[in-house]
Amino acid sequence: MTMGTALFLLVTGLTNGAIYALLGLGLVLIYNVTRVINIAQGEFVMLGALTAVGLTTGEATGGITLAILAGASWGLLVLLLRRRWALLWLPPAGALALWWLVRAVEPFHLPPIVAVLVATIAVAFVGAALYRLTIQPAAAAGEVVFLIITTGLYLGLQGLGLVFWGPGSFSFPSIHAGKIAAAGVRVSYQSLFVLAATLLVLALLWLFFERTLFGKALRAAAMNRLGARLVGISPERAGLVAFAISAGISALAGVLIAPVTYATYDMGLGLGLKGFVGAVIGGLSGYPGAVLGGLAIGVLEAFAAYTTSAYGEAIVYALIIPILLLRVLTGRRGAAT
Amino acid sequence: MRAWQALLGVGGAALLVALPWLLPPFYANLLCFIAIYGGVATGLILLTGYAGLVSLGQGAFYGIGAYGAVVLAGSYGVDPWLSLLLGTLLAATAGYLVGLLPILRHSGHYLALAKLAWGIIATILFTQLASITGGPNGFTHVPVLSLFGLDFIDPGHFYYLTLVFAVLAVAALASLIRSRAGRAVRAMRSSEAAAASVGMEVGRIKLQVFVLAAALAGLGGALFAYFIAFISPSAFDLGASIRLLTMAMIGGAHPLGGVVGAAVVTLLDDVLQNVIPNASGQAGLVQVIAYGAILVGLMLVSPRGLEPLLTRVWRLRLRAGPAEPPAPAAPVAAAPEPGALPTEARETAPAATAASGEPPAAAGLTGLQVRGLGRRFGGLQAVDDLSFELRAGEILGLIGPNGAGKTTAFNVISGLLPPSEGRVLLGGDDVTAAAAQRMARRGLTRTFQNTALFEMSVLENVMAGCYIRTRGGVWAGVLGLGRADEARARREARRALARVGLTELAADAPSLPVGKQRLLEVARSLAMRPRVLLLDEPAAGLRYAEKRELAGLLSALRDEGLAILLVEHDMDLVMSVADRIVVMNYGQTLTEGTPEQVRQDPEVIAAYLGLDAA
Amino acid sequence: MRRTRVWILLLLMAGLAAFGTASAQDIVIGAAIAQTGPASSLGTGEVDALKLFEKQVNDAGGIDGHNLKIVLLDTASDPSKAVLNVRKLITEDNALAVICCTTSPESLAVIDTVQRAGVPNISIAASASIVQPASERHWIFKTPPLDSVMVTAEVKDMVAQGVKTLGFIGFNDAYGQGGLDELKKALPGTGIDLVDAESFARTDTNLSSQASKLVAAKPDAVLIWAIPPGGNVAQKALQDAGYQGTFYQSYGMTNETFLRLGGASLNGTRLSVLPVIVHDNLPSSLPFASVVQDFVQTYQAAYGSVPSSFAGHAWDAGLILEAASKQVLASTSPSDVKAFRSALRDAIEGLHDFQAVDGTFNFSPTDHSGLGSTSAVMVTVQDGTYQPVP
Repeated sequence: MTMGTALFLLVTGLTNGAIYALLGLGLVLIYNVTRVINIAQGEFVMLGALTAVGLTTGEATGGITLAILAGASWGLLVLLLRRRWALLWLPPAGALALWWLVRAVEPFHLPPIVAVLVATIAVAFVGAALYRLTIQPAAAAGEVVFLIITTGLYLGLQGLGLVFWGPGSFSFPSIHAGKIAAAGVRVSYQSLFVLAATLLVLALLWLFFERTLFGKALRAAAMNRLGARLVGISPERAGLVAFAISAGISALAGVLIAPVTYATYDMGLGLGLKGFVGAVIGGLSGYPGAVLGGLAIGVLEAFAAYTTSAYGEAIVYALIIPILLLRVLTGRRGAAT
Repeated sequence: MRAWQALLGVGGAALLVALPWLLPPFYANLLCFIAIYGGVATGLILLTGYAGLVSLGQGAFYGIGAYGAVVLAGSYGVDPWLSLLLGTLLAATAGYLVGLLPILRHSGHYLALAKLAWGIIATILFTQLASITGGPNGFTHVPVLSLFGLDFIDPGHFYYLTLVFAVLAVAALASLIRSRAGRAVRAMRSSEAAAASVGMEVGRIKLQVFVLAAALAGLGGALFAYFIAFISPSAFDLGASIRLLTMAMIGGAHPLGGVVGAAVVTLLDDVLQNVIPNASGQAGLVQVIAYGAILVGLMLVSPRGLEPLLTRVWRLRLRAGPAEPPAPAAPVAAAPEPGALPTEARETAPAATAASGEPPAAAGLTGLQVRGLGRRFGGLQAVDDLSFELRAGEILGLIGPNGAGKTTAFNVISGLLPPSEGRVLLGGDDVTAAAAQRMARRGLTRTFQNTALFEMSVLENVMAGCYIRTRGGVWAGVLGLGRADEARARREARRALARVGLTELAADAPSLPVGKQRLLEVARSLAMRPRVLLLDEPAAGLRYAEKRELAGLLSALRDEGLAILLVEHDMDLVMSVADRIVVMNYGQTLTEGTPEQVRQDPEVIAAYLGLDAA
Repeated sequence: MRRTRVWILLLLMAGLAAFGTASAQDIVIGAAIAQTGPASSLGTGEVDALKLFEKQVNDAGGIDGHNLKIVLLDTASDPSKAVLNVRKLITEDNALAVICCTTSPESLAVIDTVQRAGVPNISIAASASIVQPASERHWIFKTPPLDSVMVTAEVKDMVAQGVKTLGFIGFNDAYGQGGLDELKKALPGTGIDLVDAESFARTDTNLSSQASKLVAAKPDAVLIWAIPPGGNVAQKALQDAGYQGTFYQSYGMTNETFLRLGGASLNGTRLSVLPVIVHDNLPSSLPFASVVQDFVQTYQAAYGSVPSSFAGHAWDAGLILEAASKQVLASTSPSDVKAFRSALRDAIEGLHDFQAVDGTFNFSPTDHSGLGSTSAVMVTVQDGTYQPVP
């Protein structure tokens, strides 16, 4: 392997790793606040990518359906949060309004940046609504049940993706096409963009958790649910916000990866699982850890596939075992009471 | 009554045998699938439902059994029947190796993740080892299973093979969960700490359960391969694992759960296929979405799956029969009369101790010695230089204000936490940092401040306490061996329960009022016949009369030579039963002495009793 | 006994199972297609084609006056589900013939079932082992050309282009493996060296490692054996890694996605395709040109889009079964299911010079694929269109 090849692999590995890192961030956020391991995390990626594609190119117009879904979920949310049944007209009205909005803007082929924003927000609503509708009611049931529920969500969302967008693949335009050459390696602008976006999200999350009251409250809720409730932070509200932010981040990841690998209805699971592996390597509770873990998975994957393309994937997953082993060996003995 | 039950059993069996004739020919295929998936899901129910270990990688063991069997038979000419066995063994071996990872000792997310990764790796191996497995195109030259000239090809015939498998799997699970090892499996799920404190080898049992589930998956996979006469990697991928787990979750923790879950999922697939109009061309899509929605919906409506329903139906049947275990509870529950209890208990306790081969602890011998014990959590010194001696036939009170480190000291002494410094001696032997289950085997056990009962009946809870005094592992449980031990455990448990005055033998332990839960924990500990008993606030939640009875019980136990360490906030109780008292404050020993000395110690009054004195 | 059966059936399936409403005189064809799962991008076109075919035949008065009924079931791209579905189609719907399945593993999985039941099956999947050896595939035929036909056309073109060294990258599934196997058989004697063969998974997002290795091996051309978007991802990865040579793609890429995703970056890419892909550029000397054009027009009129080659495979399965049924109907009634199935098989095997969308079929007792080299048309990609290589 030449130096040039190694650098090339490193850059592409980091680019993919950044996507895993974003997914890992989302997973950790949800896990910290709600103790849910979200198998369906990758589906937010799919929803985000395909919605943005539809809004930008008009090719995948399933975004209309998603808009209806998001609108309905938004209305439902308002309804459920305020518990005012007089607002029952809100879900259909919200759906209708969004449907009209999307119909109105779809032919205009929104600029990518606007499409990204709209897609991110729509998916965030879907995430929040899914939390309210499927996770919160099962809060008492425990982790195994969460796992099954999110597995069901994964199946359902992927099926919806197939209904909305069909089995085709779609491309999302790069924000800025082309490459720059540095140190003998040609790096696409999209790669730089992906990395920059990951850092930006991490920085924004940091600001949110450190500098805003609600962010601090969310952190408190993650540390001690009972304590948070005692000082007036409802774990339900915290969970809702965590799901919304997490789904939004994942949707953003989808838009970022789409120009690199194309978007399909079944793109989610593999990305989600690798994000998960990254998060676990990072300790499943720390945000910088999840980012580093995701990047590590991306780079490892690139070099493993270079060594043996047939078993590259197996190596990535096999890595989990020694890492968990290490965690167990260095951790406390036995289960606490 | 009996005849009626026999009739029901025979009728049920006849129905199972006759099913292929009663239904249109195609449904024999579905029956085969239900039986195969049902058997595999039964193993998963043991894992997920009873032991609380989630497996998203069961499809891999299923695949190893399938590939193992047909590759051996198809490529290497092994007899097909033998290949079923070998495929099962292969899967069991894989289960053992994967299970050996210490990851297993950690249930919850890490385990689920490791299993998921293992499942994905296995699928890649099935695909890439093309020279053995046929690669992505699959393995086609599967021989035919035949017996005395009868070929098992027709689904109507093959069904009987799968039926035998499913029935054996269900019988094995039903037998196991009611056995000694089965109680341990269920106990682990409720509380690993409590399971260890009655001497259960949590890690080993998990491993055995894991191997058993892998073996069932392997045999199911082998049967599946012969049934379809073709296998390819996609039948054993993550989707397959999810499907199997779904079946287990739908069925819930019940011996019949796996088969019921498999039937629901398989028939649901078929029904959805028939119901959803094909005209739209979206039948398949709607099916996937409906599948997801049903999964989510079921978990929201009933997180325990169909288990509550199954249990109700099953109990109705069991009530009818006198031979089944829960039934004998009824006459016993009615039998104990308050006056009869103490005599029976006093008579039998020492005798049984002698019979169990343990030396009766003589009064005055050293039971437990704690020397310079310390435990830090980061910067916090929770226990600091704690020393005391607890002799056989003595009650030592350990008191102190909240946060004084009593519970931490308890956890360190009982082996749930390793100490940061200091030593623990039991009967003169150094047992510092020994794990809880080893402490239990050496005769030390405990109760918990927040009661840690197992989710099973009262009687079974106490039978679980007999764990180290009886024999029979997972395999014996599966085969239904060790009935004599079982009977002995049941007798012991009844005695221990009678001793603490509990009569609700058949009730669900977690449904008892708090006071009775505490007594039950004491009874569970007594069933172990310990030499040293650590009681963490046994009187909390008890009413006055119950406290009086508890005090009497503790005194009686002391007189029999038991060493008791008692943490308790009820000063009247401590003062009245304790021979000596150790007072802790801020992790350190404040003072030690007789109740009278302690009561008058000015430091103690200042730190703790001052409130009462004032 | 019969009564009991009916009662139990009603009880168990009440209102759930929609039992076949076919009359005994209908020509019932079962089709198990991958409508969902990884192969759904192939299956959707196939389902559309079969529905359209059923409608067209019945609008024209059926097959010799017999109504054609195609029962569609979804296999979810899963071989065991395919087996279950085919058994259902055979025993439950009394299908006279089966069209199954979309993918090679599924098609291989059902061989045993259709062979034992004695039902003619037309597979619409790629692998040669579905119909070979014909002696063990008595009841099985297939419409897509053999991989060998398509690979041979590509290799011939490489020789003409002066390619000396070749790299290969394909899916690690049945399709990619089939392409590589046939390539290894076709290369000896052509003077072309296979310098590197890489594989990747359908879901892989980063192919830079495989691309780097291929680039390092410096082949004159690279053959990519995948379906969209995998083939697009691979070509893009190679271009990103600085590969400058000639790209060859496979016929699995020719659904509408390939060109749309690749855009101008695909210019100069060469591939062997099925006639349907170049329907507006087909030399009229080809005997099946008019069949292709009819199909494309009908399909476009119904769905507003150009059919994929997979839709063409399904359409051909329909054409073959229609033609064979016509022959059989002269002597056998469809209500005699067993006899009809057997006669139908014989009629299919006897089809000669049968013009269809994928080419000219010449079935024989030793050849259940029946397509010759005319089914592979070599094209280059130019600005989003396929241009036949002269």
